[in-house]
Amino acid sequence: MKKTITIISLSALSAFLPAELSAKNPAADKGNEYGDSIVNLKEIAITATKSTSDQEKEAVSVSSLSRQTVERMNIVTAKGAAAVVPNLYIPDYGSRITSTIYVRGIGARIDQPAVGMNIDNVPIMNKDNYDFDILDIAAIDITRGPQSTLYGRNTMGGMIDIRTLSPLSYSGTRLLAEYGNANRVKAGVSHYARPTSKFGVGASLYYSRSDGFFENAYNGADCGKEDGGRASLKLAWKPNENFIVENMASFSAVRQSGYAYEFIETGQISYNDTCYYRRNSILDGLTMKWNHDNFSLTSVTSYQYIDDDMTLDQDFLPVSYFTLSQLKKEHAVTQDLVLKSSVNDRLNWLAGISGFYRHLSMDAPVTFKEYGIEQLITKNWNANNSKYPMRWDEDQFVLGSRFKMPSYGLSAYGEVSYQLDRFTFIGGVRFDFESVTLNYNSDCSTSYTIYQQQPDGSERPFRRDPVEIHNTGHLRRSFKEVLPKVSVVYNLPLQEPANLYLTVAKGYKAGGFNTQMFSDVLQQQLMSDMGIGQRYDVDKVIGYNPEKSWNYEIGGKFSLADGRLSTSFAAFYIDCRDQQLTVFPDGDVTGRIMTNAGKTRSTGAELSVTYYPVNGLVLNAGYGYTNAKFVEFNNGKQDYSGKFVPYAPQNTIFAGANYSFRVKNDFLRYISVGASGHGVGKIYWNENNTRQQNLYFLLDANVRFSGEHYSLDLWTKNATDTQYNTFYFVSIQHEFLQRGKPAQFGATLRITI
Amino acid sequence: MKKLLATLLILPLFLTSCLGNDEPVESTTTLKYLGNNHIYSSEETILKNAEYTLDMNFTAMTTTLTINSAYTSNGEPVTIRLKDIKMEFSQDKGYTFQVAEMVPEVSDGNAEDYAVSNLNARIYPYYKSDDQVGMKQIIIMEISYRLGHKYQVFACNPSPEFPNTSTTTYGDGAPYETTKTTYSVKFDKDNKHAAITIQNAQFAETMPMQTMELKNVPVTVTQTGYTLATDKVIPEINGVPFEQFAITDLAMYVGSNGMQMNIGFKCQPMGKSYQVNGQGSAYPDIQDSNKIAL
Repeated sequence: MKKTITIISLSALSAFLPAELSAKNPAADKGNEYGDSIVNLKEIAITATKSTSDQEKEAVSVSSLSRQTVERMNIVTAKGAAAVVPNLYIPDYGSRITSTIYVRGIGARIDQPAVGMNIDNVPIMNKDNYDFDILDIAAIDITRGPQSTLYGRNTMGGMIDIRTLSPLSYSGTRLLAEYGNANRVKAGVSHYARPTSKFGVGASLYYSRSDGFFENAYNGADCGKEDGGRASLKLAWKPNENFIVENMASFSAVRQSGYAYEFIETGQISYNDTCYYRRNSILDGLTMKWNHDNFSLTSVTSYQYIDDDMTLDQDFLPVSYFTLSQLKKEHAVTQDLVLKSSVNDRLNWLAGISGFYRHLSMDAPVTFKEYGIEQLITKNWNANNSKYPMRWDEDQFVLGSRFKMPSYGLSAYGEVSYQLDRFTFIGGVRFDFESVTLNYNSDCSTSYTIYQQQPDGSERPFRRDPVEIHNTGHLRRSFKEVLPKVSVVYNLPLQEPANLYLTVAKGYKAGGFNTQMFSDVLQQQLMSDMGIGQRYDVDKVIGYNPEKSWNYEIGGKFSLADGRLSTSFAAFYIDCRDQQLTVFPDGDVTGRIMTNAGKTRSTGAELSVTYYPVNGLVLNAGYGYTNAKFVEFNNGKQDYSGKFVPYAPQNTIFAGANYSFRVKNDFLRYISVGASGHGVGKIYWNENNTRQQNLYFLLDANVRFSGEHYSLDLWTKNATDTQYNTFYFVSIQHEFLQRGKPAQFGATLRITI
Repeated sequence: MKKLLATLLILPLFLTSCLGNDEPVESTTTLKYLGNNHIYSSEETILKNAEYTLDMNFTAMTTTLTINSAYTSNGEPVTIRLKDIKMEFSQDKGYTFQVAEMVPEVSDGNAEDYAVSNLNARIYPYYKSDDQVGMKQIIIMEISYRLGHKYQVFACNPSPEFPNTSTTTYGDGAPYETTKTTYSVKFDKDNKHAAITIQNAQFAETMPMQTMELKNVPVTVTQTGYTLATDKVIPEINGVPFEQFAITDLAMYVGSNGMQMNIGFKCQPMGKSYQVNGQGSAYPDIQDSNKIAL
């Protein structure tokens, strides 16, 4: 029974065990000898909730980061971990509202994500809430390849699984203080305790700020200034060996100013209207697990709330075209029930049902200003009709849009694995249903006057035209999918763990409605009413269909030289249909249409290596190559077949070394020095591949001084101050780039009591 | 083509007869059309006002056709009725019926003098996107026949529409093609002049789509249809004349029972010269899923 419990504990929800206690390989033991000074990409061997086998035996590519690695690399968000994961690209977008995640050529810039994110087993429903700092990360697992069979919607690229410290396995007080250039400050305090043997509580407070790294040339203001914080409370109760309950609640807030978007024509960041992003979010996840002799039942319930306000100078220029505001409130609840067999040598299974409900309310007015009215509306008219010139009756007017978007989903899934000699056969399927409704209410009240030129050169009013647009509508779409997966794992007849695997799985990204286009719908309607311009079909412009893919992957994991050398590799082919692409519509508009491209295909390979040649020294490297192209994509104006899929990097490269040595001093016990480089590129920014970011490399380094209860890191990121861009977009036919962060340096002090 | 007036359209299936529980329930509808007849004879070719009524029985798949029209320039209108004509339905063609030869009931005169022969009719309903109501049902009615062995007649819509035509503009560089332009015609009451509306007019890729109205274009009735032609017309956009877009050498030909259209004109905006040619059909090019049955 004791042994069974242990096994179950190892394969249970990771929230119930800290990473360091479940490390199983000799390298990790060697790492532990040097305390927190070890870089180790593969210490952890925690089996995820939804898996019928140990992570090491899974037919999937996964990169795992231990707490030590997370702290040494100063990672507080998922995007911080992306640098070490092959074929994963999460650029530092400059705004916390958008997490543009691309994996193996599959990704999304707006609306539905391609990669799922779990925090302490709670699936984060809204991609707008992916980017926030988390204190006390215990481990991060990043799985590449579709996870749709077990995790459902919006995991067709993979999963990011973040686990934080549990009070049942960690006790003590932790303090964090950091300062870096651009007045970057981070401060955090957390305390974990077990008032009784069955009950644990952990609480943390975290604050961060930064002046940003860029300047708005228009007014000299800091661009990318940010203040944020997070408070969390974790309660864990384990009344007996067979039952455990944990609740994680958090509140986070972020306040950002400005967006560092550089206008390509001028090379400047310069805009005159207000830009900011403010967000409050609440996340509460309740996990309960009951262990029986033969199976376990796990329930994960969550409530998520996001309340954010984004206001943009939508033209990002020092002229008054228009501004956009987007005020959003969303409530979401999720429920997942997983029934899983106890770990068995031969047959293992799991079955589950899950559901969610979301309700989004949004108010997104666009304010047309004087210059925008003139350039986008009246200029074209007046250029072609000097005898009947048009003047707008006001300096600005508002295109108002309000939305309510309830959605819900239900699914049932299961997976079975059967071991036969050295082979493990795994099969799974998921039945997924989802329904989304959009209720919209748009309006605009304004007017213009047409004048008639007189023979004496004067003008007199010819006609005044009021503009009254009041649209309401109701759109609904529903989606049904069957998501199968089959895998075969072959355990090689070697003394150390080694396997090869083959996986075929279907991936799926939900369809929906892209509300960003509504301002353009109204603008076109306004112009159509004036006799110029074409009305958009709302459902066609706003709605988009699911994206589906078939993924074929072969790979392997090896451990050699008594665990000193471990490697994993994979090669993949992805056939994607109706890929959801963000395109910029024709004309002087600002929105982005989410369109379903014909077909794309993505092929590539990945390699990760970790090597401990001698005690105290760890070397690791990773490389990912992706060749993602359109097989068929004709948007009616241009044929992009054969072009590279935009925003997906072709190469991701990582190499790092860290050496730690013991110091014979009671206060200073270890010194660790490390350096790493990571490269990304080439990235094409548009469908016709005329804009690109070439391959670039960033160099990071750090020195750590640590003792029994403290560590002090002196670090630098992008030490060579490489200039690069992380993002590109078009607004009213103007092209913009998001600059990457310049050289950064700082010091981080951690104290554990 | 006949485009039914919205106020007289009765579109969905409904029960008009319910004579108790034992009586069979019949499905019927009545369509009315007010428009013109194009009438060709050896003496003259004219347009005359006409009223068509179709009492359609979908259960029996028959229809009764009533036509009220004059057939000479100075003649008085007469009503003729053709009863219980067999109908057929297909997704491609809609409702069709033919009459090889029939002596109708007449309101005045000798019925034999109004014998109808070679009557071919097609009723084609479809949905069209409408900015006001979302989707609007449109019924195309094409009817042609020979009357009294003397007059060749077809029903002529006083406001025909030719959606999604193929328009090619020749100017600087490669020709620009679009299929998004809709041409429609609206006759004046005297049928001597008409206005042409060009919806989604786009003569170059960089040109925003515009809706132009060409007013007061003279109409000439021809043997097979009619022609709208003028040397020069100033288009109006949203009721405002645009002299810089003056259109010259305009000629629109409508034939094939009013179902087919060809148009050509020149435009010289901003000092550039364009030749625009278009052709289209009254029947839209739509997917099967958008076809409906009455």
